[in-house]
Amino acid sequence: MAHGPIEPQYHGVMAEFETPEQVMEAAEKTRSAGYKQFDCYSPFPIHGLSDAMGVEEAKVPWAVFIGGFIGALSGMALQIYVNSYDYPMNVGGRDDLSWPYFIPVAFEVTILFAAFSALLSMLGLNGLPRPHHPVFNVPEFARASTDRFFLCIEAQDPKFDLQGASDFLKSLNPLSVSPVSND
Amino acid sequence: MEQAKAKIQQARTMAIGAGVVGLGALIAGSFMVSKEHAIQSYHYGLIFWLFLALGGLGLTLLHHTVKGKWGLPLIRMFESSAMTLPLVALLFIPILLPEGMHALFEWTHEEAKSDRILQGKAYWLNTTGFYVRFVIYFVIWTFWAYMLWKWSTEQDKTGNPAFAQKRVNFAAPGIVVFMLSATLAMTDWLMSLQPHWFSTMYGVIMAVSQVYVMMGLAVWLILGWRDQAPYKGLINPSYTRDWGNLLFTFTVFWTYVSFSQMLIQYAGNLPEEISYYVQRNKGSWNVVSTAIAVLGFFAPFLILLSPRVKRLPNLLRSTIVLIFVMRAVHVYWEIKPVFSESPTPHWMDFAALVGVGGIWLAVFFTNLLKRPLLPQHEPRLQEVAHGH
Amino acid sequence: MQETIKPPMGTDAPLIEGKQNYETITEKIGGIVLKSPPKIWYPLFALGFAGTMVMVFTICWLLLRGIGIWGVNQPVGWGFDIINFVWWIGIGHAGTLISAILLLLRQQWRTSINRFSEAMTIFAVMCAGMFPLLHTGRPWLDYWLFPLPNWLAMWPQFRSPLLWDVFAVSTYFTVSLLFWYTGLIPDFASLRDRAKGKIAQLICGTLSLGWRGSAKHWMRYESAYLLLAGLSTPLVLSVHSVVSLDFATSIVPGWHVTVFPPYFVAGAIYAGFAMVITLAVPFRMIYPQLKDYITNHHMDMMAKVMLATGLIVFYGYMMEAFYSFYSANQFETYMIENRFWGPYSGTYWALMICNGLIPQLLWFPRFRHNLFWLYGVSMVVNVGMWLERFVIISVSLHREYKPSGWGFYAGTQWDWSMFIGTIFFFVMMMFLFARFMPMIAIFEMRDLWHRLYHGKSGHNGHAPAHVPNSAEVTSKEDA
Repeated sequence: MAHGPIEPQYHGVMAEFETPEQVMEAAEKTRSAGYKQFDCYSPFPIHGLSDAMGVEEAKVPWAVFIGGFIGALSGMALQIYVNSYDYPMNVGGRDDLSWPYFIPVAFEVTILFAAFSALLSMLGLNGLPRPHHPVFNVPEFARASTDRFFLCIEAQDPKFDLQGASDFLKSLNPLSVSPVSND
Repeated sequence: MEQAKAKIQQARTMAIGAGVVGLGALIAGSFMVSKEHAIQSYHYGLIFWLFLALGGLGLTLLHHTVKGKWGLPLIRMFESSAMTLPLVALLFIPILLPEGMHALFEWTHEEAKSDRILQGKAYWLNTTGFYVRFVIYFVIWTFWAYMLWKWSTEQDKTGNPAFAQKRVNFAAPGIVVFMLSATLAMTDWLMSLQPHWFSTMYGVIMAVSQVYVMMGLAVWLILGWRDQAPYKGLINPSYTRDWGNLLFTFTVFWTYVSFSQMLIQYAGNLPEEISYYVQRNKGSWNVVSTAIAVLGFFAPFLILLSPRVKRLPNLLRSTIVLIFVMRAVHVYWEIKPVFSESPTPHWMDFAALVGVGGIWLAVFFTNLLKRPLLPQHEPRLQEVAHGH
Repeated sequence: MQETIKPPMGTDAPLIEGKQNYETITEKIGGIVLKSPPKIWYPLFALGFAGTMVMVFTICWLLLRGIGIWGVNQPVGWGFDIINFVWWIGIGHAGTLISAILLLLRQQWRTSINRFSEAMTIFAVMCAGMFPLLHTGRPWLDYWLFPLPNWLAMWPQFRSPLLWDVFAVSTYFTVSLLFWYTGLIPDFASLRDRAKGKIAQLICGTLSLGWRGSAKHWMRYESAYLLLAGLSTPLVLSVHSVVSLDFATSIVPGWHVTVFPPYFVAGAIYAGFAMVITLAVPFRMIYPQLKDYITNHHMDMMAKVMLATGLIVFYGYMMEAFYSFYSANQFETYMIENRFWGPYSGTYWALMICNGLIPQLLWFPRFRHNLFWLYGVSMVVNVGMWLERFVIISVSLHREYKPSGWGFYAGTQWDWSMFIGTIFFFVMMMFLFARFMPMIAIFEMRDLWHRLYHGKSGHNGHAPAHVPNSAEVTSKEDA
């Protein structure tokens, strides 16, 4: 890991904003100021914020696609194994491999696997569940789930130093700026 | 002013040419090969283009009812397509002649009188009733298409927004009327080709096929003209995404209803019903059935699943070509197994498809040229055009 | 605004009423969970609980005596149990439709009612699931329904639609629960941050999984949420289609109908929306703060969906009748004649009136905008959809092929007590839900409020005088 001037007791510095538009603007400025390791916090998803932060990722859709594909295959395989191979039974003269009958269950298993992939990949990539996180140490952060918007520059950023980052954030006209301690 | 209109005029000239050549070839074929064969091919070609006309009506009704933004650039095409229905009625004349009826419908034959099931159906499947219903269907459809066309035109001229509400009030019950009449019409013109067979799902499958193929054509055309005024600058990714999603939905829904019908009749295995599928899976017809499943469902399904395709107009257009071809194959699959053991098409099938298509497209383009290509007093459209 | 005599009706009404900001939205919805419930909650919950005890008692008696206490017989082997199963599962479908399909269609009126109707889905599926599980006769062996390897080398038969049901309903329940929970995660985080008591903080904190509203998290969250919606949509279609295949794959006249899958799905949505209205109207009375979020706009849209799906259902009735005659098959023809004029013709015509005729009132705005009428129509549809299943299931069975095998069917008092018991169970669960979970998706409400009022008209915390209707708003947002 590349470290800037390291301040181990700090997770980063956090600025508080009143509106989503302000935090969006702040994110753009932070990004153009050269910071890479920073995150925003908001009480609801803000359209375009991840673009403003320069974050792009499409892992969840792929996880769902792969999950669904595995589901389709295993659903079909289960039925073929069970009803066509392991214990074949003549039902009204249909083929042993009467595939039209197997479509509904294969479909349900596809959806089941894909749905689990969606939730679990989202949680996994987000590193959740994680009951505690340093940002919760900031008292103002209690309002992050109601009506305040936050931007936190993290200590891992190569450009980070406590004073510089604080000054930079203050230049963005926030309501407040506070250091985020690690414990 | 509207550059796209020059393109449409060119396309119309080509369509007329194709129509004359195709129909000429078909007439020649009726003497050289056989009249019976020619009329069967003609029926196929006509039904396919009827699907587009009815799809146009269905989408017009749908758009005026739900007022989705996705339909605004396309609505003039839908309306123009619906207004080809009188032409389709005219083109039906060769089929309605006694020779045509005899070549197509088993229930008009003398032997039907000794068939117990067909006797039981005679109150519905008889020539007089068939003609009367034919007139009723087209009168209803033309009436609805014409009124919506008229109110749109008047709104274009006067800018009176009251017409929008008028169209909603008229189009919503129109959907009910359309579904019922289209179901019965498909029973008459398609289902009764194999007169013992019946399925309550049939009307739904056909209605979905109609809006599906027309949606494909409209999107394909508009994306082709995207660099011409008035479409230029209008067609943005939010539209292509919506259109791609709609085509995706139609693909899935068509498969859903088709597969449901197949599964239910396969499971029931009753002689009157299963004959339909036996006929379509005998010999090489099985290849066509498989092709419809693979290229008519899986291919467009997987392609349209990707968000990328819905952003790139050329990719979307290629996909629509596949969809369009597979729709033609599907109609072929519905009709031809009744007449032929082999799925290999006769050259007259192509002649009919091209011939009727040429004439149909010529009238469709003429309708399109009559008015501005976009709704004139539509704030939602203006906003998009000038917003960027 | 106080002087206004007539509030805006229908789609002219705003999606969010009153003066709001992020704080009031959070407080009004979240407060219901964190504060003690209104007085009326206790007697209503007690009523639901008492009714649930009727259900529990019935189940106990059933386990002691077997399904002989029901009215099912030969030839009518499927009676109230299957009717109620189909009825309940159909009701559940509106929840998924609202939360998933309307999300994909970017319909903003969805936001206020999705959480509520998702809860309805889950409880309705619980009610539905009980019936077939008990109908097996030996519910303690129900695990045999799953393909578990065993020493007899016996497998379930995947060619049977009844087994498809097992997979469809259990998948549906699981995915609905996942979808519901996914939507709840950020709201639990809000509650965690507002809760005063230690226990509430602990519970909400655990359920929120430590959600902190990070933008990176929201990005993946939205992606997953949308994908779950995309998956739920075909799922909900497949579930009722599979239910319809229980009948359609047989060769019983009146069951073997190819249009059943989409027609059952439409019927399910129809019944479900009726139930959402049936519940939303009294809940708005019990919790007046909800009136700001479940407005006349929502009622109007739900009425329209009911009308549309009702027409599809009616199309199904007509197709059944028409093709029965068209088929010229004596059994098919007799089936429909028996419905028209046979011993159960009363239920058939009542069904036509309930599902076909009365809902046509919804064509007229004056009925859609009058809560009294709208509520009345929704009740009629609830009854009508139950009658539909009675006509399809039991009336088809009572006279199928040979007249020597004909019979009659009526539910016993145990059938009725089980049915009514599940209704009370459902009501009780809804009241528990209202007490312990945010009834409206708070974070989505904030988002909607931001989209409606913030972006365009500053952020003074007040609704602007002119409230854009949904069509305008959608176009603005897309542009």
